[in-house]
Parts: sequence; C-alpha cells; structure tokens
Amino acid sequence: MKKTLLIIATMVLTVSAWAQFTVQGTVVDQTGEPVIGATVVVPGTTIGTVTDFDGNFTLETSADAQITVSYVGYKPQTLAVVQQMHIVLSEDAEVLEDVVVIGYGVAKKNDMTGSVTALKPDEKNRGMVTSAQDMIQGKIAGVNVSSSSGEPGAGAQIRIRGGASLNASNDPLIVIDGMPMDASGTSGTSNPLALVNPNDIESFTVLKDASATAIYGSRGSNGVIIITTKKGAKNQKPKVSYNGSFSLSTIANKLDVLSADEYRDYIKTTYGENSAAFKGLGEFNTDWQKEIYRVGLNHDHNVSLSGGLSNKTVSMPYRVSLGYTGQQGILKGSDYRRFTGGFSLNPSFLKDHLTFNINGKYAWSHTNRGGQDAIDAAFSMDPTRPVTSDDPAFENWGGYWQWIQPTTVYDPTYPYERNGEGSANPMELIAHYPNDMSANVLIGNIEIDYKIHGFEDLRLHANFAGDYNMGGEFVNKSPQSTYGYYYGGKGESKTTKYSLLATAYAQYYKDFNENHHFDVMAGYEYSKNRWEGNSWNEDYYPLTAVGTDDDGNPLAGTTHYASTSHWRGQTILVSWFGRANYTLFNRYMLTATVRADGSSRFAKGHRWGVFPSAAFAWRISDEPWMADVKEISDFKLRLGWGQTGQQDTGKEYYTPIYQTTTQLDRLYPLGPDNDGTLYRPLVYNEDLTWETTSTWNLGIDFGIFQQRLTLNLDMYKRNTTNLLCTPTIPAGMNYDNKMLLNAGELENMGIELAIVGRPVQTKDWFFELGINGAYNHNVVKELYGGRDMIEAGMTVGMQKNVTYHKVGQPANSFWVYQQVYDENGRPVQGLYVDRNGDGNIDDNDRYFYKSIAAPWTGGGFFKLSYKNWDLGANFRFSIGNYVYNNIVQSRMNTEVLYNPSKGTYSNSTREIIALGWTSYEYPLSDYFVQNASFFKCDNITAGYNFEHAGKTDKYEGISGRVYLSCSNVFTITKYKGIDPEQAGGIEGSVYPRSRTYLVGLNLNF
Amino acid sequence: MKKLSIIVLSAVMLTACMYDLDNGNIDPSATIQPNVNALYSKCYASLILEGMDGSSDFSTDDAGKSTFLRNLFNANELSTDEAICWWTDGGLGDYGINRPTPSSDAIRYLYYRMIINVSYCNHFLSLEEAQDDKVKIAEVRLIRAYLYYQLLDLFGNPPFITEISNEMPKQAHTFNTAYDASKTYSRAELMSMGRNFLFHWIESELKTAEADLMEAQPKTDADVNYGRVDKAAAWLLLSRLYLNAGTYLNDDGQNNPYWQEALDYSEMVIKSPYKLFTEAEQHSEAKMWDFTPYDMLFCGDNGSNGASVEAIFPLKQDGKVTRAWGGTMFFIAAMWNSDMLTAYGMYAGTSSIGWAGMRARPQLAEKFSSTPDVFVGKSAEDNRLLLEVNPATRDDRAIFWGEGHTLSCLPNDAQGFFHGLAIPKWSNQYTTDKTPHDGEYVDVDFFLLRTAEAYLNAAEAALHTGDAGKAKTYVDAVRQRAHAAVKASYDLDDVLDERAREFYFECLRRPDLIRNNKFGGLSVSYGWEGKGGSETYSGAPFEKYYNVYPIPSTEMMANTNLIQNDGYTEIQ
Repeated sequence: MKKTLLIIATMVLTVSAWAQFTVQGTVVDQTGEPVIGATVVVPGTTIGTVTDFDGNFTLETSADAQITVSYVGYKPQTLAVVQQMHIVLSEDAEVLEDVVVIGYGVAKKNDMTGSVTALKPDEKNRGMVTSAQDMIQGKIAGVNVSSSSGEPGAGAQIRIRGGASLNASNDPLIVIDGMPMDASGTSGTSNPLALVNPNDIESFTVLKDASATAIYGSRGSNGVIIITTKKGAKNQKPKVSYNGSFSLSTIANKLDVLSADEYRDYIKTTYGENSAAFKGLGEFNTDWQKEIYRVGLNHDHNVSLSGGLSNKTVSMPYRVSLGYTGQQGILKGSDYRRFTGGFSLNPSFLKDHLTFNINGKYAWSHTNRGGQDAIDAAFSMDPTRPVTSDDPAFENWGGYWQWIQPTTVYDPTYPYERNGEGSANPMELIAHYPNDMSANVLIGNIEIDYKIHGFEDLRLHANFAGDYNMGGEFVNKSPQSTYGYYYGGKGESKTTKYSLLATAYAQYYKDFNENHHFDVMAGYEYSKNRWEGNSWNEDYYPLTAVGTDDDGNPLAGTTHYASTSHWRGQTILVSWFGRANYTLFNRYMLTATVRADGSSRFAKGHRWGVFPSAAFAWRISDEPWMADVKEISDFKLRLGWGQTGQQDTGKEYYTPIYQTTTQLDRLYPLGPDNDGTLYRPLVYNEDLTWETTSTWNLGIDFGIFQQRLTLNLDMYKRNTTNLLCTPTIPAGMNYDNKMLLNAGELENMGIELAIVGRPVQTKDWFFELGINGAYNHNVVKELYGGRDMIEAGMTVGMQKNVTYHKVGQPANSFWVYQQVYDENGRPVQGLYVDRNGDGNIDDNDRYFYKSIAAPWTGGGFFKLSYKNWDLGANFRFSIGNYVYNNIVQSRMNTEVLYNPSKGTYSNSTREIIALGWTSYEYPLSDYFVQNASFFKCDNITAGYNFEHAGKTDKYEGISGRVYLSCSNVFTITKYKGIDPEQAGGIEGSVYPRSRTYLVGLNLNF
Repeated sequence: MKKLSIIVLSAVMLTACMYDLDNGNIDPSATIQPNVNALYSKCYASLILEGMDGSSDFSTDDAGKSTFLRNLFNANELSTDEAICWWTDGGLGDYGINRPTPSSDAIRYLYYRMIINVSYCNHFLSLEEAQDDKVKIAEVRLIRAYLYYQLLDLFGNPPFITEISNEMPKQAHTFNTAYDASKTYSRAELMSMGRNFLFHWIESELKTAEADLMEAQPKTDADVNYGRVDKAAAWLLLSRLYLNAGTYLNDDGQNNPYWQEALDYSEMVIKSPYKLFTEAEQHSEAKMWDFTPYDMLFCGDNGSNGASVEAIFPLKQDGKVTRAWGGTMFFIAAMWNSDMLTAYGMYAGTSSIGWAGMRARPQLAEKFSSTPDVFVGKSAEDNRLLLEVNPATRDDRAIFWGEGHTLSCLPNDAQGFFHGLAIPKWSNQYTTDKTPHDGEYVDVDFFLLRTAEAYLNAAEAALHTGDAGKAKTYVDAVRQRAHAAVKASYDLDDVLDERAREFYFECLRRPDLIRNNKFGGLSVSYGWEGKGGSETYSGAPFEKYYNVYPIPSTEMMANTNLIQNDGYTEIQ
C-alpha cells in the first residue's frame, strides 16, 4: 500500500519534464478481450482519453510520463509510456483481496494465517439495502444474518459459526473504523449497524477463528466484523456520485384466517342457527389483515463527493457523503426515516511519514413503529365487525368499533369501557398509535500513524474514537385510544450514551533479508461505555371527571398518575495486546497474538483474562516444486489455535446490591418515617468471570486457472468453558431462583466451504457463480453443578419451559412430548406417547426433539453480464432449523372463538379449526415444533450500465447504472407458519417481512 | 512532540482506568448500602405485590402470576368444594381435579414465591443494622414463621433455610433430631419428620416473636402502623397452628394433642381490642347504601370504613401508591365479568373485571340454602333480598350472582364462567362518596388474618375440649354479625360449614377440609362436584398423598438434596 503511494508521489514530481510523445496502445482483460471505454489518463494533468471499440487508444504526452489505465470493475494500472503499449487489466476483486483490514492493522491477503473473509459490498447484485447487515446476508460461509422482522429499520441477529455461548451474548463484535460498537444499540433505534449508511461502506472483514479474533480478547468469542468506510484517493479529481432508488413493499404472506362468511358458517354449524352465538354475530365483512397492511413507498438518495488534493509534501484525500432513506412500512402507520452525513479526511504529511485518518459520521433516524399490536389483533378480530361505526357507544374510540362493556368507573361521558378480553380493533390500534422514536448518533475517530524519521521500520499508531448517541421515545396517548383510555397520557424516555476508545500501538517491521520478514506490534487500549437515561409518564383526569379526592377536591383536570425514572450504567475495559508475524521464504508464515483484558463487569481477582493465539500458514503454491503446475494459482494451508472470551453478561457490575423502588405507585409505607420505598436484595455472584472459548481452525485456500475457480475450506472445533449461563438454582440459596454463573462446557464443530467460479469471461459475456455452505454441530458437554440439563429460556403456553440445554444434545433443544395422531394424520388433543410405558404421562415421557439452530446453512449468488446489461441474484438456505409455531399454539383452543364467559368472539385459521382442540393446555406437544428449513431467494436484480452520457470535448460525461430489483422474492419451505426465518426459534405475531420491488439509479458525474 | 503527547496521555489514562475498573456500578436504582426501613417493608410487601415497580421478585415471565395471594387462592380454594376455574392454563385445571403434578406452573409460582419471601426475611434478620429495632425483628420473624407455616401446610417437607449461603439448601426432615443421615427412610417417614420439625420450629418462632411485638391494637389506614402485625397476629397464627397440629404431627387432623392450646390462643385474640366488625360500628352512610358489615370487610375503603377493627393482618393496596395485579385486584378481576353487580347493587369499581374465571361449586351454595337452585337466575342483590325476607334464612355472607349462571359448575369449559354461581364478594366501591384512587388498580386491603377466624378456631377447639357452650357463644357471635339466625347448638360439621360461610374464597378451605378428614383419602365420603376429576355432583375420592403438593420439578432438578414428596413421580 505504502509502496503504491510512493510511486504516485514520485509521479507527481516527474510530470514537470515535458516533451511531445505519441503513445498507441491496446487495453485487454485477462482473457484477451478488448476493454472498451477504459480511461487512460496522465495523472496530475488534464491529458486523457478512452479506448475505442477494439480497446485501442492514442495519447499525446511527454516521453517520460506515466499513464494510468482504469475501468470499472478492474484494477487500475499505472505504467511508464512507450510508443506501443499492450495493457492487460485484471479484475478489481483482487484489489480488495490484496490488503485486508484486520484487528489493529492490515495484512496482505497472501500472508493471512487466520480464517478471515473480506467482502466488498456488491454494488450491482443487491436488492433493497437499508442497513449494513443486508449486504452480508448469505454471502459468507458460517455467517448467518437474520433480520429480526420486516419492520422498517429493524435490527438483525448475526451469528458467526453458531455462537459460542448459552446465555451470554452471541453477537459478534462489530468494529467500525477502529471503534468497537456496543451491541446494545441506542434507544430510539434497533442496532448499531442501522445507523451506518450502507453506501459509505468500503469493505467488511469477518474474522471467524480465534487466531484472528484473539486480538480482541474477551470480546472475540463470537467473531468480529470490521467495517471500513469509503475514503477519497490521492490525486483524484473531485468526483460526484449519486445513488438512489425508489421501491414498493408489499406483504409477502398473510395468515390464512377465516373470512367473515366462513366465520359465520362456522358459528352456525357449531352452535346452530338459533343459538345466542349465531345471533350475536355482526353483519359486516371485514378482512382485518387487508385493512392494516398497505403498499409501502420507499425512497433512498445518496450523494457523495470524493477526491484528493495534494502538493509536494502534503496530500489530502477526502470524501463527503449525504444520504436519506425514507421507508413506509407495510403496516399502516409505521415508517422509518434516516438522514446520514459523513466525511473522511486522510491527510498525510512529511512525505507520508505522518498520516491521519479522520472520520466523522452523523445519523439521525426517526422510527414510527406503528401499532404493531394490530398484527396479532388482525389475526383474532371477529371479521363480522365493522372498522368504524356511527353507534354513539363507540364515540369514545373515535368511532372505531370495539368490544365494550358498560362501566361506572369513569364519568358519565365515558359510559363504556373496552372489554379487554377481546381483541382491540386493529385499525384503532393503528390510528391511535402514540409512540415516536428518534435517535441522533455521532461517531468519529482520529487515527494518527507516524513512521519515525530515520527509523522507518518503527511505526507508532494511535486511534481516538468516540461515539455519542442520544435516542428517545415520545408517547402521546389519546383518551380515546386502547392505549390511553380515559386518562390519556404523555411520556418520554431518553437515553444518552457515549463510548470512548483510546488505542495506541507501536509496530516494528524488519526484513532481515529476502527470506525473513518479521514484524511485531504491541499496544494498549482503554474503552469506556456509559449510558444514562430518564423517563417520565403522566396521565390526567379529563375535564369531565366528576369524582373528588380523599380531601374532597374535584379531580377534573388533575394529574391522575405520574412517574419518573432514571438509569445509568457503564462498562470499562482496559487491555494490553500484541502480535508478532514471521514469514520465511514468503511462504511459511507464523502469527502469534496475545491480549490481556480487565473488565469492570467482574470483581477483583476474576477480572483479568489473557487470551493467546498462534497460527501457521503455508503457501504451497509458492513452493518451487509447484512452479510448473500453472493451473493452480493459489494453494494455501492454514492452521490456527486461539483463546477468546466473552464478558457481555447483560449485567454491568458484579457487586452484591439492592435494587430500589423507582416508581411511586409501588410503595409499601409501614410505620413511622417510612415512605414505603422498597429494597430488594438482588441475586449476585462475586465469583463470576468471563467464559473462555478455545478454537482450532484448519483452512485451505485454493484457486485454479488464474483464480477463475476459487475454493476456501475451513474446519474448526471450538470449546467454550466457564459458560456464562443463568440456570435455575436451588430456591433459598440466593435471592432468585435463577443466577448468572460460569457453568459447563459447549462444543461447536464445523466445516465451511465457499466456491466461486467465473466460467465465462469474454469481451461481452461474464458469468460468475458462487456458493457457500456451512455445517455446524453444537453439543453441550457439561453443565453446572453436575446437572445434566437446564432451561434454555423459551417458554410457551403459560410459561412452560420448552427448550433446554442438555448434556449430549445441541444447545436450545426442544424437550417435548411425542404427539399421537389419528388416522387422518391430525394431532389428537392431549394424547401423548407413553414413551417409558409406565402407564402415566409425565415429565419422564418427554424427549429431546430437534433444536433451534440450523446445522446446515449457506447461500449462493450468480452474476451474469452481457455488454452493458447485467443480471444477478442471491439465495440463502437453512436446513434443519426448527421453529416453535406459537401462532398456532396460542390459538389452539377453538372453543374460545365464541367466548360467552368473556363476551367476545375471535377468529382463527381453517387449519386450527379443523384440528378441533379445545384447550391451550398442551403446548409441549412436538406437533408445534416444526421443520423450518428454507430456501430463500433474497433478491434478483437486473441492470443496465452506461458511460459518457452527455459527453463533450471537455467533459467525459456521466456514467452510471439503472437497475430493477426484487427483494424477498420467494421462499421454499415445509414450515406451516408464516415465515420460517425466526432467529429466536419461535414464531409469534411479528411484523412480517415484505416483498420489495425497486428501481434504482447510480450516477457518477 | 506528538509522540510525547501520546506517551503522556497514555500514562494518564493507564492510572485512571485501572481505578475505573472498580467503579462499574453507577446504577441509581441499585445501591450497596442497606436501608432498614425499605428492607423491612419489603418483607411485608412481597406478601401482596409482584416485586419492585411491578416486576416479579423471582425469575418468571408473568409478574402478575407471581404474587403470593393469588397462588395461595389457587392452591387452597380451587382444589376444594368452594371454587373452580375454567382457565386451561398453568396447572389451575390440575388443582380443580385434585391431580397436582410436579410440573404444574401454578405450584411452581406458589413455591418460589414463598421461598423468595423467606429469603427476604432471612436477609433482614441477618442484617446488623436491623438488630436495634426489636419490634421490627419480631415482626419479620413472625412473617417468616407464617411463610414456613404455609410451606408446611402446602408442601409438608420443604427445604428449610434460615440464612443465605452457598450451601445447597436441605430439606426440613434433615433438621429433625430424630433423623439419621446414615439410615434409609421411606418417603412417608421423611415427610413425617419434616413436618414434625417444622411444626415445632414455627411454634417456637411465633412464641419468641410474640414477646417483642407491639401490643394488640386495631388500627385504620390513617394510622402509620396500619399494616404492621402485633401480638394478636402471633396468637391467631399459634391458634391456627395448634388447630391443625393433628394434620402436621399425625397426618390425621382429629388426632391432635393441642386442642387446648388452640382454644387458649384464639381466646387471647377474642379478648384483645380486635373485634368482629358489626352493625354497631357501621357508619350511617354505609347503612344508607345497603352495605352490610360483612360487605365492608371487602370494600375499596376497608382500611378506613371501620372494618379494620377486625384486621389483624391487613395487606395494603392502594390505586395510587400500592398497586398490584395479583393482590386484591385478582379477587375482583378473576371472579367477575362485566354483567355483574354486588349484593348491594353496585359495579365493581374497577375496570379490571373481565377475567371471569373463578366460580363457586354448588356445595358452597348448599352451605347457605338447602335448595341452592334458588340462587340461579338472580342477581346478587335479589339473592340477598330473597334470603333476607325470612330471618331464618337471612345471611349477609351469601353473595351469589346467578343471572345467566347454572348451579352446576360443570362442564368446566370455555363457557365455564356461567357454570357455577359467581362471587362478587370483593369490590372497589367506597362506602362513602369518596372516589377510588384509580379506575383500575384497587384500594381494597386484604385481611390476611381477621378476628372472625379466632372465633371459629375457638369454637372448634372448644368442641374438642368438651365446652359446647363456649363453642355456641363464638359461633353465634359470627353468625349474628352476618344477621344469620343462631342455632341451639353446633357440632363439628356445623363449625366446618360455618367456616365455609364466613371465609369462602379467603384461602383457608383446603387445610380446613384436611383437618376434618374431608379432603384426600380414598375412604373420604365427603365430596363435591368435580372432586377428583369425576364429573358428578359429589365427585370421587382421591389419594391422601394429594393432601400435600409436590415440590416443583424445576426445583427437584436444581437442588439435588431434595427428595420428592411421597406419592409423586420423580424425574428420571
């Protein structure tokens, strides 16, 4: 990298010598096909041209000049001129692959010893991209990204190699321009990635194995994703680009509930035409799901300006970008708007001895989550009722029809209240949704890199980064709404959070001779994460209120209820780290790293952890005896071992403490001088410490035919010990029945394979095909206190634990009863297989049946281009993941479709009604644990690229691209619920993922 | 220069940050300094509230189901001739058919709630700062003894913990001096040893606490000490413990060496300033609105309307400052639906009225009328009028809503709320023209211990000690307060029925039936509709081991010291 910079700098100096000289040349690609329209310029001058239809060009310049040849998708080349030139451009992908950003530094791809995948966002083959996570979904073997829902601005669950923990966080560490982000996000937004404009991302580096992540120590167990943002380039003319899109989102899959007529028929057949049940039905036909959903309109605009200023000693690349995203959710009333702005400056001084990397990013987002309770309500709401009604009884809900009952609790203006046992009117929930969320985020860093004058082998590096964010939620409940009936109410909740990071390291390079390269790095890091928040809520007696308080004062207009709360927390991590690399003969590479972390989450004596790693790589293809095997362009073997930790326990301190009452409505005043504040001794564990994961990784990188076919294979074994988990503990031993402790051992073994092939690569045609797949086997080896199983956290029905961690089984396995089916294949209510044959059905008849996590996952893509046209698609699969279908379970009792006890009706699906169960008592049946393997087409995109639009003598014209795309195209699955992709392994009534049709435009001026 | 500044900066940071690691806790709602008052209040509050700010005190995903009272109701009422619930969730159905299982959610909530409450008491009692206030220490000791009393009654042989430690808790039987760890015992023998140990421990704790407690004195909620227990609470609990001693010591409620003690301690209460709340103490406005004295024990303003003269241990609720989902709100919400009115013709006074789950079994109505069908089809007010017409049938305590309901409580299905009479006994109405503090959260205090129990305990014990005259005096007093006609004499069955009339739905029924050998046991002839899961009017008997509940399976998995109660399946 540095070398290239030097060349460019030298070039600047040489331009001054000037003599006329004609250059004729041809530009071809690696296959020998001419490259049409490639740009040929003399850097630092205004001299330039483009290649013609046969890839030829002619240029007048001075004899000692150099030219730079560039073309979109290819690696630019700078060459000294000769009269006849034949220039072969190679593909751009290699540019990225050359140098990869790793933890605390960069490494040449060739020299990497760990399992590291670098990914440059694919600008062409992509669908709707709102967040950075959308760009890596399905792209990397062993990395699973699953958006949490279809809500605009929603977060995602990212798992690298299946996650190493049971109860501690399994989220990978995300590092943006050197700043490790706090996984908990900001109030007012969903996750830290949601606030980085994806158009600003230059590259992702995913560190998967411990030899690569151990440098992140106690935060490295679940992998690391390093995001680098785009920068300007030296000596580049100001370049303006625009990326924009317009899209429509529609509902992909609804729940198939009964229509109004079907519902009437059902009631008629079940209860009879003369029954109270039938007579009590409404006469309307309302499709509630149709009412609540809409076609969402989205648009997205991004403008960037980049370039580089320079003179003899100082250069200053820059990039400035602005972005705006506006999304309407498919649920009426939900929307998301985001504005982002960012800049990066990379000045260098003193002949590149002193370089700076200064980044600043700002994001503002506004989310209106919409009345999401309407989604569940629309499944259940009686379809024979109208959306609105003129009946004065509904006046107090703004005319929205509701299940109501007379009341005297309020005042004569409010003679009815909602019967809370029936569904609220979904449209009322949407119309009167009171919340508004917004967030402001500022992230910045200054990196300083200094090569010591006269001792250039030593480099000092410092990074100061900060992240400040402020998010809030505002509530304004109408007295005419389900959410704030009668008393109305206002409230606000705000959190301010900041993170500070200071890193300093020194790196020493030494090439002893051609065959021995050595470098060592040592550093220190301090990071602090602090947050603070306030909230208040108030509601009021309306002016119509007639009552009096205990002292006889009228209540009308007074505050009925008020509360405030305040919270604050921090975590601090202090670290030392180092890395040494040794390369012999350019083909044997050794890397060792170590990091020591001290975490404020643990008590003295349990606080510091040391995380070492070592790795070895062998570039077999560079062996002299391989020189003759021309077909093999790359063959490398990697072996690594390392230890990493996990300290994100969800708790920020370790001390034995009391929790105090913060709300003024839950007091228990008792005796003199006692205002009723309560203290609760909290469960605590002073012996708590981080969990440790040891990983072995064996990898093979293989490429043939000049990398037209590449293959990456990784095998790993990870053992996590001292697992942080929260099992049930004996009652009375501490202050809770569950406690966070270090317990047990978990093993993950897996294999990952990624293959990319470019079978067709001609002048007009290009075809690339990639597939990646991963297998991960996860098994619990040991648990706390000699026990062999603990609850894993998913509860169903009335808080029945259904998932367990059991020794010998995968984590999060379902422990269920085996359902008995009738001759028609329908599950018989309450009938389970007596597996132990003792004549009783009890816990001893439960068995382990499947688990949440998919053992097999992967993705694939293809890209096809013909001249200026291109077509691409991305796919993703997951095999063997099981989902608990809670949509069905929570509606299993068909008797309550008509519920006179509570005075309500509710809707259901044909399937559930056909089963005819009359109870919710059997949620532990394996019937509800359903195979949710899926194959999804995430997007299909077709585009047309153009150049030189509006070209004049002086202006090269506009280049760009127009494209059409469809996201969430189709899903193939046997799963019986709405969407098999459920990160938590249970499907309730979540905001459905939409199908999006998009038209986009990129312009480069 | 830059190099230097980096070095200096790093050095400064290094020192600062090592110190920082000790300062993780800056949470304003968490402190390491104990607060005696707040920890003392906590021991009381956890008998009725969910926890802090509405969250549960123990790990469960439904805070509203974690409360003590709600779980005590489920365990002691749904399994008896008084109440039934049609909700198909959480083990309530198992209670209703007398088939409790270790995996029952309801039993799990009950168990963890009581033990976490014991932990709070253990913590308070161990607190150095708390030792100076002997009265508070005695109160918390009494609360802990009460909790162990309930653990003894419900679970027989629970773990016994008096201090928080890293040791895995051991079961009560291991503390019995007769227990020899090297021997093997049957589960029935372990149960017997555990019950025996707990009985004597509770007895001694209550007696120790009694010495330091405040003098017996009823209070109203205007008094700062309202809600605190005094000597009368210790006496009444001792009376209850002795009354049931046969059950705990001999597994036979009638084989009881402590009848005299039961009588003595209940009479100490009767002679104390605590009284039955009678018509004489009613304020005029309440009479004008047709509130009976009995109604006023269960009203929104029961802490201030005079009824608290009977409140030996009131648990506080207030729509503004002491809110809870599973306290008295449960006793309204779960037992009402939106059609109902009280016996004095009013709405519930809270908007939480639609859970519509609990109803009476017909045997409860039988306690008030030999022809209980008469209650069917009538409002609670009409039923009161119906009985009032005849002084021989009058009884203020018969609060039955029969409109739209059947007498039979079966089938116990989704229409179940209409099967069986509904009980609008509790309401949030005020007996004055004041307004309840909230439209939803109620102001009704729950009288966990009230004077009437001392009267009926004394009457029952007196029959056993051969003093039938004394028994009549006490039963008469209770009946007269309810404007019910007195009888010439009462036998044990009469007293048991009187307890049903006086205390129905107040969480006392299961031990009363067990003591009288009318609960578990295949030879028990007393039955009720749905008993033992039999869908007949008088049900079917069930095994006696169901007299105590199983230890929850989650606890059995977590605490390897425990042995499951006799009769129940152990997890393999």
